[in-house]
Amino acid sequence: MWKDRIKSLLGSAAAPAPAPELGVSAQDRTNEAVQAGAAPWPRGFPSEELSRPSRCLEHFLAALEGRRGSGVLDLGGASQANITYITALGHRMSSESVLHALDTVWHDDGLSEARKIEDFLEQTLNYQYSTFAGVLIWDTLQFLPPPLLQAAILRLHDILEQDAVMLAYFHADEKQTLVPAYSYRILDGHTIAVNPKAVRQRPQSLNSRAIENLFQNFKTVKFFLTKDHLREVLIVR
Amino acid sequence: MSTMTVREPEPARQNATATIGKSVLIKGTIISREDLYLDGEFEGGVELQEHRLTIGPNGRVQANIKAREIVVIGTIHGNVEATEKIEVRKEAKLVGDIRTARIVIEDGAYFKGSIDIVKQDVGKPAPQQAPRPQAMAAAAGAGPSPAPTPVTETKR
Repeated sequence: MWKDRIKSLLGSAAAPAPAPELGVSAQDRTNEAVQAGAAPWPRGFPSEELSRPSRCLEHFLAALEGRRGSGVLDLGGASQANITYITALGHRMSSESVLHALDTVWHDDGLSEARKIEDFLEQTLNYQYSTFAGVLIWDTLQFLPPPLLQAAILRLHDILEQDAVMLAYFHADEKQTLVPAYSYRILDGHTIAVNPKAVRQRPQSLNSRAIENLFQNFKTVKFFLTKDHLREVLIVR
Repeated sequence: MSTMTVREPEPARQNATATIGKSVLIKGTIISREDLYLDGEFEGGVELQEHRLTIGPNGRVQANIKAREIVVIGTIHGNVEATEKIEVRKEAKLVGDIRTARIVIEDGAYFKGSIDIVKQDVGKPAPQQAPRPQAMAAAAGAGPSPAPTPVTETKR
């Protein structure tokens, strides 16, 4: 399916580009292309499903040992594999899609930024009566605009138990603004399946220092060396 | 002297499924002793303790639901409890907490809420569970793997 999509995109890339409209910035056109699903697949990123080891996942699962019965939150949306794996370890699983909430709330131009953040946190990460021992963030945080990102991390801090862990991935290529969003499935205790979903605009570039600063209220931030495009980070509250 | 014949309640038909059509709107409580296919709009509570409930593609339900088995193709806002199994199809939208012995969620389904997997009664076969990482390593004949170490760590 992805091969067909790439072929069609290459075909469209060969066609002459339309003349730019007056008053429409390059950024606006990029956003429109991304929203329409017509953005070309970024170079250097896998466009087909693959499995890869994840040492961050090993650490994440090790930290959950001994906390049987506690809650784990998956921000990447419902996944049969993740639900089966986490609940088999004896944990209660909660699931929601941060990117779905982002697409629903953030692109409503009629609302102020403060109202959008409020609506976003109303729709997602809204757990007044629950706390979690672990959060599977996957690669979702890097797609949040800066003010929303700060608000989301503050909310995560609130809903996590002491010494709770979060697993987060960030694309290592800091120059690319268009990057793929993937879905992630736990295959076993140290392997994940990575499945490309769509190309998304990344509103900010996050290097290691920026990631450390994002989680400055947390106890530790651990980076794991990987051979591919993903930077793996384990955050402990 | 007159005699009165007392009719026995009609036993539920085998494999019978009651249907609520897509143009029907109901508010209240449904208690059913047969399988139910709900393709309309419903608000209230649903109990089918020993039977299967299917929310059809046009079904929009705002209710807490208890059944033996639940199949969701449409939309549910509410907590659902299935003693045996819940199946959430790819077109489905489910916002609420799930309590069940077994769950199937297709890729593409929208789910927001928590999932509690409860063990089935003694005597019934247990649901197949994903093996724990250590068990998998042992089964593969692998020795204990060394603890992975982070590349960099910032402590505060």
